Amino acid sequence: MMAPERRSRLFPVWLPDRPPCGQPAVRRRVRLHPMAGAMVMAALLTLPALVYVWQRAYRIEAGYTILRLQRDVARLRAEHAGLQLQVAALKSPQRIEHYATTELGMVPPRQRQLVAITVGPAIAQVEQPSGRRGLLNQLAAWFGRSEAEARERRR
Amino acid sequence: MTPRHPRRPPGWERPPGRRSFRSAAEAEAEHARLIRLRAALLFVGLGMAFSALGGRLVTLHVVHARALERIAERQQHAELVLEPRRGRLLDRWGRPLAINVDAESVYAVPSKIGDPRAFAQTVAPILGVRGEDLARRLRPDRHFVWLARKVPPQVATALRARALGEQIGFLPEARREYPNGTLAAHVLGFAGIDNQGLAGAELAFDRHLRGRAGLARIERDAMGRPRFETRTVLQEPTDGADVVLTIDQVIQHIAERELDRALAETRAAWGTVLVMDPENGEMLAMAVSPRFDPNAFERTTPSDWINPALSLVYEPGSTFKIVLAAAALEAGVTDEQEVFFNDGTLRVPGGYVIREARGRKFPSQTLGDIIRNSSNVGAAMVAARLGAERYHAAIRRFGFGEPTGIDLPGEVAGLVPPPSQWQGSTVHTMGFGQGISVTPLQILTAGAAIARGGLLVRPHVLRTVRDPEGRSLEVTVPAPRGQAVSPSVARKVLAMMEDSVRRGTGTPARLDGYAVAGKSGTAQKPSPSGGYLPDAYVASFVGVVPADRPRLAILVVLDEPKGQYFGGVVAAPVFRAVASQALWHLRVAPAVAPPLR
Repeated sequence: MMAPERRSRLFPVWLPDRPPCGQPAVRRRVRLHPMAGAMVMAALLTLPALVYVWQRAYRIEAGYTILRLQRDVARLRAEHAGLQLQVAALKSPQRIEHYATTELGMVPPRQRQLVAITVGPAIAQVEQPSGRRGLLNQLAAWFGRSEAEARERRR
Repeated sequence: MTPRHPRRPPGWERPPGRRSFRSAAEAEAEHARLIRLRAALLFVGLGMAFSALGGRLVTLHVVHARALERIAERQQHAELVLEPRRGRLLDRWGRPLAINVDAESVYAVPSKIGDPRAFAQTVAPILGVRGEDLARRLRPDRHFVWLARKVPPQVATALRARALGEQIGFLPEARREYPNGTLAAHVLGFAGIDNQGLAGAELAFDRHLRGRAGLARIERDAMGRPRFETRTVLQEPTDGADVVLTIDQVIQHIAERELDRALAETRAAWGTVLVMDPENGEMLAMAVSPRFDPNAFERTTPSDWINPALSLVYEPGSTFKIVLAAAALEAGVTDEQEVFFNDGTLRVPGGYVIREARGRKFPSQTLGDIIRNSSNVGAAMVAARLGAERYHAAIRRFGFGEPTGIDLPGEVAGLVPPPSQWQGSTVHTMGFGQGISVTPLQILTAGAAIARGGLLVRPHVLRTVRDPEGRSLEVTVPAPRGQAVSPSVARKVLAMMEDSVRRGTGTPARLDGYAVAGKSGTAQKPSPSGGYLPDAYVASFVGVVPADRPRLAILVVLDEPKGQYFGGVVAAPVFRAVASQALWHLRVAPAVAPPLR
């Protein structure tokens, strides 16, 4: 069976110039199939509507999510308040005192147990850090270190 | 060319009733006619349908527009009140004294309840109410009836377990809780069912605590759920601010514990212990006994809510002698050296005779001795020399006869009659604190003024107001109310009070290591029918510590103690117990090292 060989390459062909006819070249109109046109039109009309509906549905869904999260926040807040109440009740001085005296066998301190310590002259004469800052510390205060750190003396 | 109609098979017969056409043209014409008829019918049908729809639209949008709009508005739109959270009450170190917890409130929808009696029988036992009362409230024409507000979680759970459907509903609300129970109940007061302050600090600072409700408009979906994306906040809610009180939770506890102990020992009717910083008028503790639980205030009577420290008056007795001494020294009618002689009695106008308590006699004593011995006769002699006008003016300068201005509700002014109403012996009896009515807070303020160099300060319980972010919105600045006496006179009187504790009637108030200045008082209680009640006394002690650099001014009042009733015997030990522990708590070092044992 014989079949013509399919041409795989195109070779340039020199054609003679078209003789001038004095009229502009007529552009050929591309005619779209009516069904395809209708489809494009339908798509153009439907797509924005779909996008709008999708956006709206997404917005509503996000609203419900926010509501759910708000309920969670309210529940956690309530839980936090309950825990705060529990902590405050547990730290109540009456409870601590009752627990200390009955469970732990502790007693209130007596006045005699307080000892006043006289500060001796040796302690009083300990050199206090001066308020003046050295050049290094002043520079350090400018670059990176805090003012409080810069005032600290090196030990 | 393909024939228009296929060839009919052999034996084919035309169905009965069908036309036969003579020609293809006739059949074509008939077919076209049928098409036109069908099209016309279709158009007529469509036209009628659209007309019906149009008519319905007109009915909905024009005829019933208003009514339907109202229904839609009611069903789809809702205005939500955005409830603010009530601020907390904190002690001076930020420890919570009153906080909010979430609770559920239960409501019924009577229009959905078929048998109110059966419903009431189911719900009433859980809520702890009478079924008949509940059934009576469930009128079928109503859509909302509160069953119970802010119920405990177990009650809400039990009601949910009954599966009552649409007949019952739950709403989350905030409930006020006082985690320390009865601690400082009379200072804190309480908030009502709608979180409005009703007593104490809750009422006094309600404008800071309650916040401002917001308003939002929201649409609902077909199931009645709010659609968040449609929410429009018309007004943002503002949460209430936290109120930091000057009360120290620990000192308050110490004062209440010691007061309770004293009440148990003396079987007094009531008592109060007030602790103040004399420098700025900050109240560190206001203990009252007996107390009530603000968590269950509805189970108590209104008389239980009265704060006797500012709302009850009593005759101060000998604690008032410090006012007399200050007034006499300020007026220059006597000095510390002058000696007053007496034989233990003083006959006064009206035929009355003033005697010393317990039959004691102090034939000669200076003003300092009068304070130390708590001599009634000596005080009456000094008061007589001072005179009604000058004494009255001095009393008013100390703030008696007018409220101290404390920022708590319910304070009374006391009763200081003008000199024109004084009878012959009034000036004498008023010298030792009988015939005048004061509040405990006024006596404490006067004592603090002596410690403060004669400057009268306004007591207060509000320290700062903080917004929910912790920023200070308002800070209480100490407000002097005026100079009651000169600093030099105040120093002299303070020295007399110190002497009274060192070797006078106030010795049970002595503290190792600290100089204490104080004065005891024992006053007879007036009878409603005139005169004084036999065997009914008010024992009290007012003092400051350390006397050289006062940090605390403390007043102890015990009403009608049984058995021992002298202020120096029953009230001074309470002062001592409270002062020693409060000084420890405040880390106030003793000026003198106590003896080691």
